Amino acid sequence: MENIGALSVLLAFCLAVFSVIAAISGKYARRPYLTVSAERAVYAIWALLTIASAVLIALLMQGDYRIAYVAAHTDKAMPAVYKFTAWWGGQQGSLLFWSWLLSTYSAIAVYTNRRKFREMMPIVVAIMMTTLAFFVGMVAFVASPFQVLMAGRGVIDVGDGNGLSPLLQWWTMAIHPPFLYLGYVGFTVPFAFAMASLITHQPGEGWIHTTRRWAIVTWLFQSTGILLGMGWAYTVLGWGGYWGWDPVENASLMPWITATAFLHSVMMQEKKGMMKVWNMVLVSATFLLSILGTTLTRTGLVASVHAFAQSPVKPYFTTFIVSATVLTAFAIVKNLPYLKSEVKLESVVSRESSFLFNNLILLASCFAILWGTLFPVVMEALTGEKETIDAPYYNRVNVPIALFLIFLTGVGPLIAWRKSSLNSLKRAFLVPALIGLAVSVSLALAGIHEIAPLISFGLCAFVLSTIAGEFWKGSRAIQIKEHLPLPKAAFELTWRNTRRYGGYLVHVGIVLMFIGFTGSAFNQHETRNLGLNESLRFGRYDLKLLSVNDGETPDYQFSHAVIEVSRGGKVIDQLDPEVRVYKNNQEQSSIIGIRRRLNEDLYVNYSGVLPDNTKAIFQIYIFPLVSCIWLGYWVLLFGTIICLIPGKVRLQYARTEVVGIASAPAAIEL
Amino acid sequence: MRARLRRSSFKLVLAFCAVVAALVAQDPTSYLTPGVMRVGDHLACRCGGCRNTVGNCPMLRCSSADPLRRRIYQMKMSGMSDQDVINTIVREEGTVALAAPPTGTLGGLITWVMPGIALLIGLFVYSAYVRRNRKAPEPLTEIDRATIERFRNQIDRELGESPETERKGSDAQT
Repeated sequence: MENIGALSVLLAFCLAVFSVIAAISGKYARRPYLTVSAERAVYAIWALLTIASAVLIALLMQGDYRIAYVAAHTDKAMPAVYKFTAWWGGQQGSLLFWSWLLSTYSAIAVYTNRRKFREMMPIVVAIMMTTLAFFVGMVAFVASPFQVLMAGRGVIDVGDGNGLSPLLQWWTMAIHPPFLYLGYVGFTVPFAFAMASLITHQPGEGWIHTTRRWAIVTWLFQSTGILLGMGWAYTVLGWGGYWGWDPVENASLMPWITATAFLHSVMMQEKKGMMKVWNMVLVSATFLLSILGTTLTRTGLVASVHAFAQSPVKPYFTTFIVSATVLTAFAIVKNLPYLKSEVKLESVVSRESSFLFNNLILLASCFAILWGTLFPVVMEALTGEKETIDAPYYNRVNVPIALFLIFLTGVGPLIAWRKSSLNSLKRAFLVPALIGLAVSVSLALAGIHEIAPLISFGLCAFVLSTIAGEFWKGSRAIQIKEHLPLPKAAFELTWRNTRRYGGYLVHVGIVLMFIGFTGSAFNQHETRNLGLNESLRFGRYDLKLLSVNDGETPDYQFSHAVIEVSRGGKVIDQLDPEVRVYKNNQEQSSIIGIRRRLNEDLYVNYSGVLPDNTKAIFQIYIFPLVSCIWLGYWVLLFGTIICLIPGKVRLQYARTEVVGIASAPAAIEL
Repeated sequence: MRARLRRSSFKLVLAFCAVVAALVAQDPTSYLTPGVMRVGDHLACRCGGCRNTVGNCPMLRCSSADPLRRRIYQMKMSGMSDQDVINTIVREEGTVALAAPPTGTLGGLITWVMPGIALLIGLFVYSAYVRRNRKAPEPLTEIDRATIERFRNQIDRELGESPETERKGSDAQT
């Protein structure tokens, strides 16, 4: 059966190469049948990669331990769901998964645009298939998941496999990689459309209209993937951290930041015909950073707990990313005249300017993270000097940037397009600024004296009040004009311009997350020992160890503690932390006892026992406001879905359009 | 009876955990003092399993953080200041022991300064963009009548077709 999988991958690679050649020669030699053939090859590649994936899944599910990949990533005791998720659990399988996703996206993009963009579709196909040919080539020739275990000339069956780390046998971890991949692979499509539009000199913003929803959906996948990873780390690792500034975590954050900048600045191009070069750079940067992310994960370029083991893919990935960067830069520079803005910036105090500034700050944050991730590698290669760049660097550099970004999130909606007068600024800013100031002052009076949290909470209040103000003003206008109750008027307002008000909801989600991040400034932590029926006080809580029970399942041995939680003499909860040791690899994992509340989480990790066996050790944490992060995600999800729903009123924007490139710039002001 | 059962169960568990967690040679809570945590926050945990500092590494039996915490505890007990402890460890292990690069080395300086330089370059580009784009627009070249007529018709068509709500919506946007 593995031969069918390997053959399918090989054929898919051949077809991808054919598709690239046919698409380009079809376009430039004006042979439409070749173009059509290239597009049909995309569907055939999807079918072949689906077969290859189905074969791999079947091998994983039935536990065929002749196959090296199956033996390395599954074992007999694993639940079926984790056998399935082993598809993307290792280097080779995840490359196949990445290829399959890209082929699926490509097939959807080709099918939905089969009658549109006839001029640029061959280039779109060529770019997508070049990327796919690289990944499928990796699966076919360098990192095949269908390799069998050999001893001399004979195939061997090892009987059982190594299994999956128990830390990864968790539902959020099962779906975290596919969501990230869906996000990062997905940006290949907007990138391909952008480049094709540039190379074929398409007038207008057709590629933006086509890929806008695509970009939003893939951004949502990225956000979901990142949040799932954070949620997993918080729940499983035993120290309540959700972000460790690990190089691979950073690699997942950087394309998200550039994608966020792109989603903002693309509005400027759509509405005003501005920032065309910038958008091209951002969509390219997102694509290239996605590839860089997978390069960091797969090549062992940086030391990371997330990275796959060192493998022979490193030179290929490095060559691909360098070539893609050079070609993209060349395409943009060569076609700069076609990216000329059609509208001038009228004032620094305008929404256009604030968008530009917001982009600049986002990019600064992205650069700081990229620098922190790659500089130690560069430094070591150049001088042999080793540097460690951990959380203190990232926090110190990114906290001021993040605060400024939050400020701009509030400022944006208050500034008018084109130009804002001082009076209108005063009118718009006064109430939100006073609310923000009042929150900061109140918190300072309540005993919070750290500067960064005070500023952060004040800015969060400022942003939330600007957004509430926007909803209030719009809803009131509809309520008065159409005699609707306020909630219905708010609904009507949102429906009329889903992009704008959905976007505001996304901002609310981000602000809630920032409230959660700021809460970490007040985390409390202690490691304490408890004997049976002993109590301790931590924060406002009294914790009493009621019992400890041990046992075993076919997979692991466990020790389970029961802790009674009281406050003010009243029992309010019971926590059940557990420590497990897996039999096949003696790996230890913890099940954390968490009491989740909106204001704070009580988090108890049962860490083991003292050497004299008299007491159990507990790591106890209080995480204020951490639930706001998860709540923020749900609001972000809701807001993004609203953005994707077509608005009731189709807004037309007066704007200009390049109708051609003459010897002197030719534009018409409308 | 139940209490005795519970107690014996507890002993069993403790024995089980002792096997599992035999690496704890000393009560780790005895040296997790505020002073150790404070110093530990400046030092990197280099176990390869996390990116925490020695101060906040959660693994009590961490191969990197745990021995270092004990050393810091001993040095603190001997009366050394926080900075002396950090200096001693950096002298022995190099700047790689620090969680964030020091500004005293070339690499450390570049690490800290570059994001700021990049931001300044960005601000320069932004101000250059604003300056250039605020110049008077260049004169338009001649465009054939048919094109102008096409756009005029489009304006008439769009203004004629716009419903009231649409104009309201556009007003709200600005």
